[in-house]
Amino acid sequence: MDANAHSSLSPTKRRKTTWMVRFADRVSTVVITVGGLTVVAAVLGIAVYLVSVVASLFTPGESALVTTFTASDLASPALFIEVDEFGSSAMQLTNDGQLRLFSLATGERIAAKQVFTESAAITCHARSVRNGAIALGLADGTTVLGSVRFETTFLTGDEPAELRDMRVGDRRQWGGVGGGGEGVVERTPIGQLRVVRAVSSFAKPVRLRKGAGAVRFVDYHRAPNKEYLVALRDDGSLLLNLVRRTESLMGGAPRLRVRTYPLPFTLPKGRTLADIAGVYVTGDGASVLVMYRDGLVQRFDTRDPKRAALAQTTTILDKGRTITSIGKLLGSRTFVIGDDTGDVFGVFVARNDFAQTPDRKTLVRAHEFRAGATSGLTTAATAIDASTRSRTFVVADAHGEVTVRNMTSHARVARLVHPDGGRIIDVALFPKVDGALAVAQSGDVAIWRLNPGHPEASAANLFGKVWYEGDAAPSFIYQSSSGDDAAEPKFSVVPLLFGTVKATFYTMLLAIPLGVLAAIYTSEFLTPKLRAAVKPSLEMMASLPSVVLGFIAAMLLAPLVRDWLPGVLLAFAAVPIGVLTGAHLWHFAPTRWTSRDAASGRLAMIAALTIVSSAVAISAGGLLESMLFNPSETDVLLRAGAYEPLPREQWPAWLGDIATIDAAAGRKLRAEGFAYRDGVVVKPAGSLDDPTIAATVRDNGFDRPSMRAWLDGVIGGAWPGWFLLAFPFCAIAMSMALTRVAGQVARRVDRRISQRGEACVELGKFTLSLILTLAIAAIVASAMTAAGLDVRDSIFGAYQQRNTLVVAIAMAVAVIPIIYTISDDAMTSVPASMRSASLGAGATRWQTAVRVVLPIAMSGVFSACMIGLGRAAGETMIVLMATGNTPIMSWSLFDGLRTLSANIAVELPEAPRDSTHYRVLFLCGLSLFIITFVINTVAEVVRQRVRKRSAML
Amino acid sequence: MTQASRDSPGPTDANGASSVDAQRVAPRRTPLSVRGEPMLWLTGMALTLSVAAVVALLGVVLWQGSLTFWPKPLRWVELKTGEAFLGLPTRAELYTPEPARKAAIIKGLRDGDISSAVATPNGRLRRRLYRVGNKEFNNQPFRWVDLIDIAQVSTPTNALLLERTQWGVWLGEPERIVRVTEHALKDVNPSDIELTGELPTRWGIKPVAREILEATDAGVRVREVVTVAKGARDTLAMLRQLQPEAAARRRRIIRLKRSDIGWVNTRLERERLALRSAQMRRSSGKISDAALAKSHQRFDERKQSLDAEYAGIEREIAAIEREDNRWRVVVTDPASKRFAPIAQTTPNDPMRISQIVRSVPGGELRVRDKLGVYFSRWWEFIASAPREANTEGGVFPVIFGTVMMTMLLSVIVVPLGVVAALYLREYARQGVVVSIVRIAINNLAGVPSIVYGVFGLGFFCYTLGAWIDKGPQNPWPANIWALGLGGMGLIGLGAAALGLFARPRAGSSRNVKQRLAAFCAAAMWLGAAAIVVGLIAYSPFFDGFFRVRLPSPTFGTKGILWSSLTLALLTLPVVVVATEEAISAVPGSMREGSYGCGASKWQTIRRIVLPMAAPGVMTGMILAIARGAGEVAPLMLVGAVKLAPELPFEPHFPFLHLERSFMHLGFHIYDVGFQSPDSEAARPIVWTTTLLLIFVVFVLNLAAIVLRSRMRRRLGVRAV
Repeated sequence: MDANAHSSLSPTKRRKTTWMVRFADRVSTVVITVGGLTVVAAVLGIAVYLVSVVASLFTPGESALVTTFTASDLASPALFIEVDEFGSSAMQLTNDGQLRLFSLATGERIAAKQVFTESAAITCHARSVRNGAIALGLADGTTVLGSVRFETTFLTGDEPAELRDMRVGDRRQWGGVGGGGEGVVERTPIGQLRVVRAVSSFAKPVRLRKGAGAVRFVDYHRAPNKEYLVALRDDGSLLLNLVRRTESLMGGAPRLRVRTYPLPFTLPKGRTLADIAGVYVTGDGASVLVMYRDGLVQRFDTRDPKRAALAQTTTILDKGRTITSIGKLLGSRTFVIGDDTGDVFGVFVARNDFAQTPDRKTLVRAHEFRAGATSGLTTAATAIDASTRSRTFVVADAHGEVTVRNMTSHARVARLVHPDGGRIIDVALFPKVDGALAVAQSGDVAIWRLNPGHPEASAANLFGKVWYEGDAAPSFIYQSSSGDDAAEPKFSVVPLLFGTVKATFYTMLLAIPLGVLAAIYTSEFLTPKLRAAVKPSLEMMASLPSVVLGFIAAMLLAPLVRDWLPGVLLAFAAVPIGVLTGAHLWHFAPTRWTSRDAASGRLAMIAALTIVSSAVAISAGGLLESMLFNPSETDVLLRAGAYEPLPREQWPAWLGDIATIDAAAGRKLRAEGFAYRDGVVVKPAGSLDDPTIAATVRDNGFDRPSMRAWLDGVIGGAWPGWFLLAFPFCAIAMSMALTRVAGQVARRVDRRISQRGEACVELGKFTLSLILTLAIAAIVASAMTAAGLDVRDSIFGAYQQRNTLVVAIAMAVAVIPIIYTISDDAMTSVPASMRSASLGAGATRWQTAVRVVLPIAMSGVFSACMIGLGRAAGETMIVLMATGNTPIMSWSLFDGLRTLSANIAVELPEAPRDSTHYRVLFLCGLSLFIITFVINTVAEVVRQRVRKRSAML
Repeated sequence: MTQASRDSPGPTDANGASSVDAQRVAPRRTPLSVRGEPMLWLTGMALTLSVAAVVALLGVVLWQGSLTFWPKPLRWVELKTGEAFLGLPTRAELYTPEPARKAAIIKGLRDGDISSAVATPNGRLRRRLYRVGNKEFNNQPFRWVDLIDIAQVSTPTNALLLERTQWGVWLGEPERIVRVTEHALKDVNPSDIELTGELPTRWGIKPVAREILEATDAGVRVREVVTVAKGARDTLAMLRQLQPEAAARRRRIIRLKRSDIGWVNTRLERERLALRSAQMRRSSGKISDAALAKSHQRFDERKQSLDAEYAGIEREIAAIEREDNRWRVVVTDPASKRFAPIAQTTPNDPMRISQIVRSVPGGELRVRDKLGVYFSRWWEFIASAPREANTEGGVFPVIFGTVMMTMLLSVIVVPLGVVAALYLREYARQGVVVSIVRIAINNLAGVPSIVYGVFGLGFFCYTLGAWIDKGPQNPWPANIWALGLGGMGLIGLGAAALGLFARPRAGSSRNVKQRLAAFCAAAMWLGAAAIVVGLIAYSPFFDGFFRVRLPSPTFGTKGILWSSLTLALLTLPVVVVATEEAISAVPGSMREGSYGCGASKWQTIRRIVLPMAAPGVMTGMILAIARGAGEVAPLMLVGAVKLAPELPFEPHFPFLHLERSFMHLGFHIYDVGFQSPDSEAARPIVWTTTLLLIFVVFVLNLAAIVLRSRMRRRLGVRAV
């Protein structure tokens, strides 16, 4: 503005702001306000979006009654009802071999065809869960294998004239051209015409070679490369048949070859064939179950059909109950059993190392769904159907109630009520679990539409223990995918949370002391010149891409730690001890060396000593190994294979009540002089003088001290581990006790004693305390060992190359600069006047640092640690590259782990959009977000308080 | 002060009693225990360890990364078994052999049969990894050899290391260079053809060998092999001479294949999509059958001309390849006596000269030559594309992808960050809400990057990207949409009216009613904004921009745009915090001066605040870029791939392809180092890539530090 130039000449003219300026001002205000708010909203929107994706995991499924109609045909007794994939039609195979197709829109019968034309009557049937395979047992003692399923085809080429006017979503019955059979035709959203038909095929009847009479019960499991057929005949012979299918090269029906193995089946006392509720073969063909109506189950071990034996007889129902319906889940390993009170149980054969059965497995009732717990009404479960694609099943009861549940997660997808309210005789779940159909005794059919949501996940199985199929006990497992489609998805996020906490914990154990102590030295004792060089270079490290650290950890650090393990562990104790020794020797140095001006000389000494003692410690690992990890004679003999089985009655009593022999149990056995080998308890036999044993021992180095072998739990006892663990704690306790005493001693120091004399006293004190620490650690270790505890159950364990120790070191390198910088800033910002006052009052520099500066900067240091914690918890690349990413729950320093972040990085690129797996991974992301957000908020709030307080100083 | 320090007088004695006879009593010594020497040493140890970790880390990367390309002499290794091979020593290590062997070694060491140079006293063996290359005939391109098994190691004088375009390196001795031509001779009797002889060439008279490939009534096809150089020395010299031409041919073929044919394919694809689009419009009844027929016709015409163009390029390529096929070099592996073949399937045909990327003499080189090879390798690394599943060649596309992503990132993040910071500092009323927002933004800087990746994948790729591709998933019916539009208008009008009512008279403040009105107006604006978002997101009139390409997604998948946006969100807090700091460091007096001169708020911001805060903004930007360059985890989810077939930029319209995935330095390290099938061969490249990445990140950080210190000096204040 050049108004000033004229001001002296003429009276100042009041100038108006031009409209341009005003306009620009207004526009900028609006733009910046709106833009700023949008940015803030967008950034906060991340959390909202994550929550919205995760929320649908916990949203229950929806259901609605679509239609009801009366169809007496459907209600007539039939072998089964099945609905097609699109929910347009249902098929039914009647007792006399007629295949009927119904429209689900109206209940009308579209077609009926006699597909089964054998003369003998059908006495029983079984379907394989997945592929429409069916087995029929006939009155003449033969069985017929076949398949009855829906087939979907698309009408290609010219559309038939009568279908041209169909719109998207229209459904019609269709007779087809060229004898393709009847079905339902529908116009799909992309305009194609899709035809769904029921097709069936039956092979020639198979005459079972053994036994006599009609086939009473049959079960059939067909997987791509194996088929099991089990049949119970009227004369009480139970037959397991292995079916081999040879496809003929010329096309046509495959040839079936059946080998029949009779099982040693006898009816239990007081029971007849009429008491049997069902006969089943498990999906792996390893067990055959005979279930009686009162819940008694006979299980045959059929791993080797030629030597099949009765493995166990057990009861799976409570007393006085009766089995009213049985279903098979996908994979045919879990059986759904409903009883006369409406309770439903999931039953499978589980591993149990100490079961008194030949196959070391036992039948367990792993899942229980109590009817009374939800509805209060208890009526018999009358019909069960399981999904062919997931572990969802539907149970109907005698009062018209239909419940859809997931076996693994126990989530209830829907509770449907049949309008008729009567006994439901048959129920079917749509293949995509998007609908259900129930037939009441009166012939009323109800059809519901379902939106199942995500039944595979619920709060119970995401965060709680679940008894997974085949396992010995309920556990936390994360295993999102497997090669087998029928495998149970295992979505427990607990192992991932555990992994995150574990990695963070060990990292911080290393990073906090190093970072904070280094910051104390930097801010209080370092010369300005050195400080100006050291601090920025460490700050720069904070921005080092973590992928670099991960790469180096995996490529260099992991092999280094593997090769020098005892040395590395030794270094954790030896380096501080070496440096402390140096400090005590430094007391002897002349004052002019130790004066303030010569501080850099001291730092040089410290640095040299640190590096030298690290090198010495690492190379002296062998010494530690030979001192602590020597094998006993029993260990050597056991490792060399010189042992013999122990008679069953001499087995330790405590083995009776454990299900699996894990590492801890194995060690406990060994401590008692035994070992577990291939299902039996053994004891060492022979002696080391035996030349063959001696040669084995020598060649394999079994008699050498080895930390790795000790970690694996094959040699040594609990003592060395406890000693190693107790040492640092004892040392810390000792030094704390010493500092308390130090003040007292300092006051009583005889001032006539020379500096040299006092230095001697100090050194003596240090040596004494070191010896005392060792002694106390040894006592503690002996006590813990005597108490029967072993540290190899917790922080030590079998050695994996990509382990937590490596990760902790690498992550510490990533986190130390952050803790260091922020703590240093906090200490530096303590006003100089505080220091001067303290020094002026006669305090030493160390006293000033610890009693004046550190307390004032404490909250800053705390917030530094919290920020470092946040970074460690969310670090992805280092854990991804330097751990084996195994989602296991063990505190062991030498086990791998999988963190939330690494899990996302590994699995999210492959997870199909909007699947349960995808949302579980979003849940991992959200958990991580919440964890770090809380940590950072605490740190930030603390820091704000510091800022206010330091402003007051 | 505590008991101990009060009782222990320092060197400067303030104690009244002793000052009386200060002459006689010597100043009291500080007791050693209060000097805290042991703890002090522990803090020093912590500092040493931290610094040592840093130094070791950088040292390792620098050492490994910079030595990768240094040429090392080849070795002729003779084993005690009589076997011998040519190898490039890579690294050595100690390992524990199987127990029986270990026992034997310990015994041998004790008896003095084994020298302590090859094994340690506890039975660990020293072994060396040789790169033996020649992947066509060796099962493993690397080979561990125990030093104990080696009889003799010598340096061959004539050996040559060939870096080839395919199948990794070839180690061998150059034997001869031949020119292979094929002639079709008419009316010649096969028996008349001399099978050996001499031929004048431009290198003088050279021996020639002929081979009859095919003899029919019409004529004879003859292959003529002229040996233009023979013997190691001549071959090497000739190779030097011929290599530039061959390399030029190779580059030309690559250019024709990639760029020219690629361009033809791109245009063809465009035409195909245009046709498909017409078909889709026809099936939804938007155009007539005639128009569709016209599109068909147009497509056929274009396709014809493009096919012709394609054939022309193919002919050109064929011509160059014919010439290229003539020049062959025979380099023999001395151990197996086999030569480097032209392809793995035809092991008896020697390789083309153009297959050689670089030939390095295997013997001891002069320092100058070594430097030459060293820098040429670095140049290749930086300027060329990767070969052999990323384990050889360069990282140009990787650098390009990283740079482009960070550029996009900074273009997005800086305006957003500055606007947000300006709002928070200059426009928002400072109070509890703003400080909560500020804490929240600060905290977002601490949220793990992978979380942003999760968000980016879910929101940008799968939601926003899918919307761009095919329009809304379940659009509102048209009438509801129109209703929404009307509602939005009404609410907007109402909000405007309320806003007018809520405006206080000049000079007075709002009364209760007006405050209420202002609050309502704000709420209505928000509602209107939400409806606008809904109207756009669920518009029934939008079918997506890339519907014709479905079901393969265009924007609905990983891409450079989504990566940049994700990283922009990730780095936004950094920029906001840095900018806010810079803005708050602008002295109030400057602002007041500006207002005093009559400037408006915006003028003050634009002319005074922003220029003064510019270095701070720059700092924020550079820090954001540095973070973007080093971040890997989120990029794994939203955009980085192991091998991007095309760069996100190409010299034809529309130049930028923001939907394409890209390669990134950090991800490259992870991928090549951990996902590579041949990790041993990949390792050198990973080290150099690491070095490059660290270099880039450190330079950027250094720039930020320098800028910050400059700004502080200029403003004469210390930013908080």
